[in-house]
Amino acid sequence: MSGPLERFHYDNRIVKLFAYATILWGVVGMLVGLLVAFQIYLPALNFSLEFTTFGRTRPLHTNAVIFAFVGNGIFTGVYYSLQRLLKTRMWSDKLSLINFWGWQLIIVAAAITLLAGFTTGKEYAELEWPIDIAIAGIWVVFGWNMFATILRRRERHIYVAIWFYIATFVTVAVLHIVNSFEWPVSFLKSYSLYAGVQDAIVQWWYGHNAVAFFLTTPYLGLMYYFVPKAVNRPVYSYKLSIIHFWALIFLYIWAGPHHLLYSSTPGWIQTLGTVFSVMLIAPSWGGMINGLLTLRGAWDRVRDSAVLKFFVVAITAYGMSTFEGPMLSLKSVNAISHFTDWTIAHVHIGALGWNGFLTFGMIYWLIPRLFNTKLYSMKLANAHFWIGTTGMLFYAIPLYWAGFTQYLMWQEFTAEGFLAYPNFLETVTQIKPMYIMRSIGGSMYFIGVILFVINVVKTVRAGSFIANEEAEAPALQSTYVAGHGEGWHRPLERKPVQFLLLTLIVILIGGAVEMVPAFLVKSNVPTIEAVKPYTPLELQGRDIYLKEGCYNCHSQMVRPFRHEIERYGDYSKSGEYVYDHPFQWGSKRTGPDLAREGTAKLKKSHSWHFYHMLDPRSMSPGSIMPRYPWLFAKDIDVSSTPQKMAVMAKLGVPYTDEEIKAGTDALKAQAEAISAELKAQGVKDADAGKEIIALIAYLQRLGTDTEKAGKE
Amino acid sequence: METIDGVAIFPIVSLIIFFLFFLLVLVHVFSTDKRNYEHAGNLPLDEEDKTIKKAMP
Repeated sequence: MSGPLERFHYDNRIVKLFAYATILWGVVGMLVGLLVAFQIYLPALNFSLEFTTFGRTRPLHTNAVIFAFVGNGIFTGVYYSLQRLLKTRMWSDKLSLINFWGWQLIIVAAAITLLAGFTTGKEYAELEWPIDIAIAGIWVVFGWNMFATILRRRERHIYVAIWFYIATFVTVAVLHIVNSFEWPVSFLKSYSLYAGVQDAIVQWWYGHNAVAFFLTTPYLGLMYYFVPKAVNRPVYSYKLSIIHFWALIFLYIWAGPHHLLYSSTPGWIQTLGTVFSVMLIAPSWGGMINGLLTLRGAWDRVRDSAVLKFFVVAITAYGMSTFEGPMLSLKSVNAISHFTDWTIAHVHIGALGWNGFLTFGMIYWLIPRLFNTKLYSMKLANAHFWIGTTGMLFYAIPLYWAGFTQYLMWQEFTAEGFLAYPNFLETVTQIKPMYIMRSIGGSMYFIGVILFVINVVKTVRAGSFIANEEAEAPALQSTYVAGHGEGWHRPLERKPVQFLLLTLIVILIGGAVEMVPAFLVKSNVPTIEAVKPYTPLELQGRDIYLKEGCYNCHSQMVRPFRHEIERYGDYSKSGEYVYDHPFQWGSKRTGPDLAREGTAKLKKSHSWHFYHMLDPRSMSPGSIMPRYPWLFAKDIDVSSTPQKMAVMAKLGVPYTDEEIKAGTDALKAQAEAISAELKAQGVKDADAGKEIIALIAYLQRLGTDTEKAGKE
Repeated sequence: METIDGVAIFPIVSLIIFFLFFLLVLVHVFSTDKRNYEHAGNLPLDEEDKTIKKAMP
C-alpha cells in the first residue's frame, strides 16, 4: 500500500520565530495589563498623557494578549504540529515567513495606532481599516500555506487537531471581514457600515466568536496534539472528538447575543443567544473531558512534569470558564454580571488559565525539542506554575467579589423607595480594595512569566537549534481503498476541501439566521420621530469620545430594571441608536452609564463637564477617572467635518447636501455658543476651537432627543 | 421581509438542521467500529517511529 520512503525536513525555524514572538508579546501584553490594573485605582498612573491613558491602554492590552500573544501562540503550535501530523514540510517557507513578519508588523502598527488614538471604537475590533485589510491578507497567506501543505501531505488521514485549525481559519476570515465593513473617512478613520442595534448584533457575533474561534478552537487543536504528545498516549476518545468538534462549531456561532441581554436588541435574538449558549456546555465539556482523560492512567506523571501541570490547569480553566459562560448567558445571572467586574474575572480564567497555561506548557515542551536539549530548570518551571496558579486565584476571586458587591449596591433601594447609593462613585470606591488585590494577583502571574522567560533563555543558550529536522515517510499513493464499515465521516477526514466547505456551511447557518432577519425586518428597529442626527460639533465630539476610548468604562445602554431607570432615566430603545456608526453601548461600567447624560435628570452644567474633564477629582472627589488635559490644548479637526458628514450621509444618516456644505459654519456657531455659556458660568479661558468644547456638546446631547419627544 | 411575524421559523428550522446533523454524527460515531479510528488517534504519536531525531535525549 505505501509508496517509496521519502526523506524530508521539518521547518523548525518558523516555529522558533513564532515561539519567540509569543513570549515577547506575552510579556508586553501582560505588562500593559498590569499597567491598566494599577491605573484603574491609581489615576495618577495615566500620567495625564493621551498616549498612556486607560481608554487607549486597555484596548492595547486586550489586542496584545488576544492577537499578539495568543495569535503567535496559535501559529507556533500550528506550524509545529501541522508538519508532523501531515508528515511534510510546510508548503512554502516564503509564505511562512510572510505570515510571520506580516503578523508582527500588524501588531506593531496596532500598538502604535491604538496608543495614538486611531480606533473604530468597536471592542476587540478597534484596528482601523488599512490594518484590517492587512490582517485579512496575512490571514489568507496563513490559510493558503496551511491548505497547500495539507494537499501535499504524506499522511492520508487528517487528524482532529487539523479540523480545528481549518475551522479557525475559515471562521475567523468570515468574522473579521463581515465585522470590518466600514467606510473610510481618511487614511486612519472610518465609520462602521452598520449602526446601533445592527452594529451591536454584528459586533458581538464577531466579539464572542473571536473568543470561540481565536481563543478556543485553535487552542483545542493544540490540546489535541500537545497533550497526547506530552503524556505519550492517544487522545481519550477519538469518537468523542468528532461529536465535540461539530457540535462546538455549530453552536458557538450563535452565542454572540448573550452579550446583549436586556439591551434594546430584539428579544428573539437574545433568547437565541441564551439557548445556544446553554447548549454549548455539552460540546465544551466534551472537549475538556477528552483532554483531561487523555491523562488516564498517567496521573502520577503530573507530579513530575511541569508541562502536564500546566496542561491540567489549562484544561480545567477551560472547563470552568465554559461552565461559567453558559451560566452568565442566563438572563437572571446576566442581570448581575453584565457591566460589572464579574465579566473581567470570567474572561481572565479563560485568558490566564486556558490560553496562558496551555501556551506555557506547549513552549516548555517545545523549546527543549527544538534545541535538542533538556529544560534548563524543572524547579523554575514548577515555581512558575505555582506562582501563576496562585496569581490567577488572587486575580479572579477579588473581581468576583467586586462584581457582586457593585451589583448589590447598584440595585439597593432604601425603605423609602430611593436608591441606597444614588452616587455611582460610592459603588466604585467600595470595590477599590478588590482592584488592589487584583493587581497583586496580576503581578504574581507576571512574576511567573519572568521565571518562564529566564528558563527559556537559559534552555536556548544551552542547546543547539535544529533548524531543519530530518524525517522520512512513505509517499502518499494516489490509489486508496476505503476500509470496510467506516461510514461517511472517515472519508471526509481525508478530504480537506470538502471538510472546509462543510465547516463553512455549518458556521454560516447560525450567523445568517441571527443577522438576516435583524437586517431585513424594518420593525426590528422601530424609528423614533424625535431622534435626529448629531450636529456637526456633536459628531466631532463623538469621534473624540471614540478616540479616547470612553466606551471602555462607560456604557450607553439603560437596561429595563427599576434601579437603572431610577438611576439613569427611561430604559434605552433601539430607535435611539439609528445614527450611531458605530454603536457605543460598552460592556463595562467602571463609570456610570452615559446614554441619558444630557437629560434633565442627569444634566450637569457645561462648566461641570469642563472642569471634570480637566480634573475629575475637582468635581467628584475620590473619582478614579483619568484627567484629559490635552482636550483643552488640541484644536477640533474642523476641516474634516464635511467629509465626515458626507460619509455618514452615505451610510444612511439623513444629512442634506446643504447641511453638509454649511457643516463647518454650523460647527463653529455651536462651539461659540457653548464657549459663551462657559464664560458666563465663570470659565474665562473657554476656547471655542478646542476639542473639549466638541466633547461637551456630545455629552450634553446624549438622551435629549427622546426626552424632548416625551415632553411633547 | 417587512414584519417580524413568523421570525421564529428561522431559529426553529436551524435548530432542526442542527439536531438532525447532530443525530447523523451520533449515529455514525456509535455505529463505526472503534478500530477504524485507532490509526487516526495515534497520529500525534506514531510520527516518532518514522522521523529520525537527531540524538534526542
